[in-house]
Amino acid sequence: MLNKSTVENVLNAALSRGGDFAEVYVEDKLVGNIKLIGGNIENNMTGREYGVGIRIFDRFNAIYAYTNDSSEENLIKVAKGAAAALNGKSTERAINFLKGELTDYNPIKTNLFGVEKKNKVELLKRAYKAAKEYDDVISQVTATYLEEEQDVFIANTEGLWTNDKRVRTRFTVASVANHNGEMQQGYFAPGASMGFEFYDYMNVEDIAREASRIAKEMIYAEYAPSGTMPVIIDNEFGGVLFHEACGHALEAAFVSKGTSAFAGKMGQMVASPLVTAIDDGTIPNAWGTTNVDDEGTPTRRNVLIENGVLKSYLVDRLNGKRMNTQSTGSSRRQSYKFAPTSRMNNTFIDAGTMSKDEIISNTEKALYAKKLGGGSVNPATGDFNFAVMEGYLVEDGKITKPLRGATLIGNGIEVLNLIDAVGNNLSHGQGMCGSSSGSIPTNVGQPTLRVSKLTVGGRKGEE
Amino acid sequence: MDFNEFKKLVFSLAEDKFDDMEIYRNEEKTLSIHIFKEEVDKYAIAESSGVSFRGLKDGKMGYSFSETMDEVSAKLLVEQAYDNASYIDTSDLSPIFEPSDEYMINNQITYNINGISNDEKIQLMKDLENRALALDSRITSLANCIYEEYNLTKEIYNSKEVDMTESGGGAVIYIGVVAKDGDDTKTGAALRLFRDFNDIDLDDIAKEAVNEAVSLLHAKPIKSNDYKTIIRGDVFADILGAFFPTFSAENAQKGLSLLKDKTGEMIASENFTIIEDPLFEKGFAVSTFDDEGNATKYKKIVENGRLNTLLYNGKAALKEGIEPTGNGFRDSYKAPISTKATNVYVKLGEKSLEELITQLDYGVIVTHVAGLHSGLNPVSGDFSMQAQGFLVENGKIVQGINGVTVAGNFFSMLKDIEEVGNDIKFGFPSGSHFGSPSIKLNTLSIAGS
Repeated sequence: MLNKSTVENVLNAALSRGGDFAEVYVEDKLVGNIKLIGGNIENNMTGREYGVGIRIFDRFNAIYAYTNDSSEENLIKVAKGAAAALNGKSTERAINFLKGELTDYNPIKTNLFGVEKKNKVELLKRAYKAAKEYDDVISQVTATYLEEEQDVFIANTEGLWTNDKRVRTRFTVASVANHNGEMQQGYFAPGASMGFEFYDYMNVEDIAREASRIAKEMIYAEYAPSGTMPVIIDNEFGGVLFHEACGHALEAAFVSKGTSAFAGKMGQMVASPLVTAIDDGTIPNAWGTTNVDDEGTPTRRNVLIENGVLKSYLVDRLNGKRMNTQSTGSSRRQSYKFAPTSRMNNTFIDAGTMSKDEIISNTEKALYAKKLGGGSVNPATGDFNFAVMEGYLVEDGKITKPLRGATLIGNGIEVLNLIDAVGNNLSHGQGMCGSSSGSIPTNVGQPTLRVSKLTVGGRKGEE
Repeated sequence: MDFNEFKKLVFSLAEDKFDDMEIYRNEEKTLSIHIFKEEVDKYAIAESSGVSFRGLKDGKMGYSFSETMDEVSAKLLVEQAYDNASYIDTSDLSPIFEPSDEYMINNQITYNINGISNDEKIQLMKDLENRALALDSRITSLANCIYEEYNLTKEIYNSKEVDMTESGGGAVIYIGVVAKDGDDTKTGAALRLFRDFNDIDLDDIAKEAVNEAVSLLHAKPIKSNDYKTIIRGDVFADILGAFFPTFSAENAQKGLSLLKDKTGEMIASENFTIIEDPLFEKGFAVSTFDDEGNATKYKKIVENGRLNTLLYNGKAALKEGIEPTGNGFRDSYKAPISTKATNVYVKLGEKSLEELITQLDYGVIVTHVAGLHSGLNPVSGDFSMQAQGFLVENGKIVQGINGVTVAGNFFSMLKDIEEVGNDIKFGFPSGSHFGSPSIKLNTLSIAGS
């Protein structure tokens, strides 16, 4: 992408008015998406994103600038423009770049952009047929095929020189059920850091039928009750519970400023002893896996909470400086248009010992949240919410009837302490996580678990 | 290569392949300053641009985009769009338009951000941080103290003689304060969008955020029940924005909106009117033409409860054989044309928020909701969202409310509107910009303790 002398000149231009660290991030990304609505290909877009981000640290102050023009002349101009925010003396230096050895956690078999488009269109058509034919109540189906190939290059004044390639694909199906003037939607969207071989492992008909199954189940369901009650949250995307209740508040961006409910709690019990939670950026070919983070630090497996005790935050370089601690390989950004900060990769609550059936049969009355949607959190207060897309009522240890979606709310530390059963069926789901450094792919995961009390935002009054 | 050269090159490469074609470009300049404890936590400057090419072959539209402008990208844009078009098999034909007969003229909205240096902007934000901290001893820090400004230019050039450019910009001040009292922590925020620093009152911004945080300290849930509810204007604006895809004619045609075939029918209470005003002076989505080059139009989308029109982009209009309504917008050069609006607001009623509260007697005011991206579904109209606000008894605020949800259905809520206030507030602009006065509902389900 850029040669060594250019990079060195740009980094030194960045330090021309002081600062203790400078970094160059170059991104070259191919993206493609194909959208089907109602059996026909409606849109089809391909393109290339290309740009360079330059960052300077001066103690705890951070300066960021980006551009699409990567000529040396322009990059030096942009670096000097960023440096103009400082008033000090030049801290230019000779830099000895060292290319470190990296483990490849995301081996790719079939290059996505090398596959003929007709094969991708075929996947969408197959998914449409399976979703539509699932049941007569399914009135509309939307499906998208997404692909991207992101090449990043990162170098800094400490001599870091690294490259990473991130190849990802995702397949989304949204089915609409229409009955008596009402509509309900079912949605399923698996993805991975894989090439086209993803579709050898993942059957698009299964994805499609799952979306239609949810829509059909929900069109005939009643509204959820409202009020506080025990909630059983299923595995896979149920992991959005931990992501919102705890994950964001463990990000150093909040912890370092004391604006997280988990600040100052290292080594303390913050959750039920049944809870061990991990953020692992190295799970092979997982949706949120990268070989290095977006500052060039190798990703790793970080145990965040072990048997209820807080063990680690998610730390990036800048906030690590503030906290006097090392990066945990957790600095991420959507693109060169964002300065990176501490984020999650693949976050999950680890498996416990109970089977899902045991958890349900040992529950007198609860909401069983089978499919979850997205959520959000206020890290300062710990108040979080996430959506149930498919629910059921559990009575006397049995699932009795389907219930339509409702939002579940709670407070981070409080809810982590109310987890009173953890299953043995850990699995992961894929989502896009939005925060100050943009929208990034993350896995959430957990086994089926039970929270003894959550507020269920239904609209049917109390059961 | 500059844009003029680039567009000529792309068109020369494309003219034999396509019946009609268009180049669309966004150019963006931004400045962002984040202050934390009197330090510049983040200072970001950027200039960037991107182009999209789209070409029409036998009514099928192929898209491509690039962030570089050179010979290689020009060639790729044309080849990819041509290949992409060949896979389109929808029966809905896409158009490329000639210029509209008439465009509105924007001569009232001016932009005056540049008179102040960046150092002065940094000082201003440090000053704001200190003022907020000084207002109340329970304010421990500012989680956010942000100044941002942007200047956005869009250009459209097509083979039917559309050749147009429009620029717009603005500045944003956003602060989020953290209040602590004993074990209890609450946050409050204030947002200002402006085009002139003379419109900014730092004390007013600080007070708004601090009052919100402090007044919510020791807030608690209320019993689950149906309550008479006032939804504050900024919150209703956000909810309206999240459900807005339901007003898209393309969504209706495709069976993705419950407003299909409802044009001309009453869909809301008689006192409820929604206006799109592309040149609304308080709006930050000002535009005289949409992203297909068609003139934007002032219109009453809902008038006294009746649905006057859905919003048509070119493709949806062509399907019904009518004129587009100037609502063919794209999220950026990276996305295809969809349906969006410019500045959209609910027409003001007569009563102030205070009068609405007095009149409410017993009920709830919702001042914040969270989970707009996840807790509501534009297809079904269902919503269930985390909420904060206040309990009203005998016409007076008696208690802060936290840890509750509000739930209902957008379409039944519109028919349940009892009063519309006179206190318009706007949300954060994202392509479109939504505003609303406070809205009083006959009843809303609240889940709490």
